[in-house]
Amino acid sequence: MNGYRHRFPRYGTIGLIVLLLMETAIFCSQTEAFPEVSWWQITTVATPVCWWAYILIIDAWIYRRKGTSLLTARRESLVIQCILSIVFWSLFEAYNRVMPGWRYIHLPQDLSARLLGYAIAFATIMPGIFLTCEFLESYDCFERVRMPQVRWSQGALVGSVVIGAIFVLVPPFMPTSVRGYLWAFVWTGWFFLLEPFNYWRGMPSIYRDWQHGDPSRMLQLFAAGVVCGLLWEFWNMWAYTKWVYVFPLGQNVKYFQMPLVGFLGFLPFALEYFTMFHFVASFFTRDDKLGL
Amino acid sequence: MSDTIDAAAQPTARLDTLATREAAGRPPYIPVLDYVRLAQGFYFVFWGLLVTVLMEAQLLFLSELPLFAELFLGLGVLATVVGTWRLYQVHSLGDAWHSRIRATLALAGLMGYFCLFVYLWRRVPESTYLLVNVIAFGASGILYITAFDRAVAALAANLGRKDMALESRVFGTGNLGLLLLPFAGVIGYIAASAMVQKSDLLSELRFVLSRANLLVIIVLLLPFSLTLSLAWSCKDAVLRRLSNLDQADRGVDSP
Repeated sequence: MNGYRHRFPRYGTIGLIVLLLMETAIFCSQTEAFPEVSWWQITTVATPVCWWAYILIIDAWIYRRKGTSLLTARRESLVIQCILSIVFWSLFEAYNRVMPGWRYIHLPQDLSARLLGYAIAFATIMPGIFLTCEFLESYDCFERVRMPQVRWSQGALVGSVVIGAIFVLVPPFMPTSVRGYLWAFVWTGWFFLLEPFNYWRGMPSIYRDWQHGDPSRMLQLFAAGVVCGLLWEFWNMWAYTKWVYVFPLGQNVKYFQMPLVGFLGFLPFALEYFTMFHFVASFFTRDDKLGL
Repeated sequence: MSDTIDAAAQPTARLDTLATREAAGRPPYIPVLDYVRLAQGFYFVFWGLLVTVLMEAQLLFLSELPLFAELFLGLGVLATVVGTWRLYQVHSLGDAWHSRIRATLALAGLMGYFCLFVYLWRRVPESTYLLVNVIAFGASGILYITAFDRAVAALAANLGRKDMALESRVFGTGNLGLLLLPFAGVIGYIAASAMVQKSDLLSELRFVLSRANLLVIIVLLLPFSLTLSLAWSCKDAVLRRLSNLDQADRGVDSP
């Protein structure tokens, strides 16, 4: 038994081919290979293409292991994830206008092409994280890890909401010179703010997991955040259209172009997206639409 | 044994009553708790919308405003969301009400989302991205009150209040004609003139706002204020029903 009980879907193979072709283009753009080809024009779309290919591959792999996956059985959930992914990331982009975090370079001049590119790229964030998490879960990663049970009082939950509200609201109001140092609060604030509501409303909740002494889902999300963070930076590094980090912290120690200290943000970011998704979903259904 | 039989018989008897009421064309049975939710919901929506619109107007027109005053916008939107949430919790008014109030709640959520952009835009007014989201906040607000009017029409039908149902339809149409269309027109004009004159949205918006006629603004906000009055009269109608129920429980004849 190797754990694979189903065929690898064709779309996964297509994703693999597309990813390899784009990787080849990225490699060629950094070397002198085939100088007559304008590689930069192809690597302009490297980020969205690589990420959509990654989604196809990892979803196919999940299908091969479990016999069910987001693209084969829960397509409406994929659409919702894509929409929410754009909506939530637009919010962080708004923070980015106020607090120096990152900026994009070599964007298309045409506004409609730029907006379409934003939408296609931002839509991959949430499915990318959640599929990676589901993939790790299919290997029972961290399933046996246990932690001391946390007893949640109403006071503690209300305190979490207050702390979260302070974390998400205060940084933009701080002096301009200080704002860039406060990204950690934005990356954790939404989790603290919304998680109690998921707990109260009976939605899948990290706080409830802690109550049961089960940190496996949190650790899977952390791991998914790290994996996606590594890939974001890896595919971003040599792309023509890309982002560069401008926050004033740890710029001298970097992984690819990401200051290493900023890498810590990917851990709570995955939790934050999980919490935000279920918070919005709770207004429409009490079902677990992610199944993580 | 008899207790078991009685307890099992109660839901059937209740269903019979509901079916009889519907067949007789009488308003459906509304539990007391739902009346309380309705009253609270309309109360919160009234004050929330009022504070939101006043603060949004000030934030657009005045560049210098203390942070304390700015916070009232968030409080207004929060009150609107909470009020709409209370209305959404009312399940006894039928499918039409529920689907409409659900759409209203979704729009209240959008208002809450875009409200954050207003605060961020105040910090960096020259950002076109943030300004576009502020415009989306305005659009979601207008759509919210239109959806709110539609939900009130469903409530009025349930309460048997034909006058209120008519008012909500008229005000809803007024919101579309006097608020949404001019809003879309102004935004279209600003975007077009920014493109033609190769300037930015903010300059064009400031130019339009500086030329805004007070009388025109009052006329434009008329359907909005009528919607607010509708929310208040809904709250009064619900409280009156609640009071009548209370008097009936105590054996007092209702007027």
